[in-house]
Amino acid sequence: METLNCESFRVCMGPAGEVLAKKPEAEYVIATTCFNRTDELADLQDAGFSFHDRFLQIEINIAGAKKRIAEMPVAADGITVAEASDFTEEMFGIACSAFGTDRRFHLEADFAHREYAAEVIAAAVRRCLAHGTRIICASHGKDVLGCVMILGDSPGGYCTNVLGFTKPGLKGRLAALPLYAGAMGLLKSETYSGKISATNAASLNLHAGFGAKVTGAEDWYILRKAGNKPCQAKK
Amino acid sequence: MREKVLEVLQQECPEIDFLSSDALVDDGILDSLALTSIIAALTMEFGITIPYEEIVEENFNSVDALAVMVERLMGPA
Repeated sequence: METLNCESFRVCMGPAGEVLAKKPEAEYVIATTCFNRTDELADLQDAGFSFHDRFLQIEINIAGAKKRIAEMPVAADGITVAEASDFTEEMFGIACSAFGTDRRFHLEADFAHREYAAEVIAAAVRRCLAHGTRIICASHGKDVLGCVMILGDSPGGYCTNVLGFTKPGLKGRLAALPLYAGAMGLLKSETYSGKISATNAASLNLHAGFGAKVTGAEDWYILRKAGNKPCQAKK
Repeated sequence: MREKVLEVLQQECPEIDFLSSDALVDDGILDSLALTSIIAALTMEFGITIPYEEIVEENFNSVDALAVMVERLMGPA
């Protein structure tokens, strides 16, 4: 189980069996399970959890992706992709606007509480940076258009996209393909992996273009300790 | 010009109904893959360069808007 310490609240997440056994104390508790674990599903529902989202685990052979990328019209006028040394306020602003309906960060039932989602994004970024993720950005001139954060990149190894986002709007949407294609070009690992929400068709299609295979699915169930009353984010 | 542009779009992305909306971008019909394919196809077919400043929703939201942009970038005949 892991705990994400946001500014105003905590989010605890772990496999359903462990979460149900340990009953962690956190304002939001997320239990992960597989769709066919009907036993866990019943226990989760009895404990007050509700379905939150389904994530598809994908893997890409990077050498294969690079061959596909060589055939794609990836280049976009003036968009460059390079590694960044810091996660800046500009990048954080883009992340907050990009994840408008992402259930990893929007833990309340509706999507209106953007300030809470921003706290979760900030905590997730801090955790990524603490684990030494690489930050790869697409920019046009000085304007950052999007970033991917990659964990665990090593020669011949297995790396994970832990956070990826582009600016809302057409320029950001256009930057997605060069961003991810450029990131693939910078990676040393043999395999790229990630978890993508089943509702995120754009990301699924983008990764499919690189040869992604779906290797599994993970369902998230959530328990909101405050019930229907959202936690109060600090001003 | 509009018909020619539509023909190029349909050839490039046959799975998209380009006439279904006047908000192809705003409605999320054109994703990243479709956008880059369309830009490449229009560039090749009409011998134009689509500069970054032209990458705005108004130019890509409809077949008509794309045709106007292409014609403008081709310059006077």
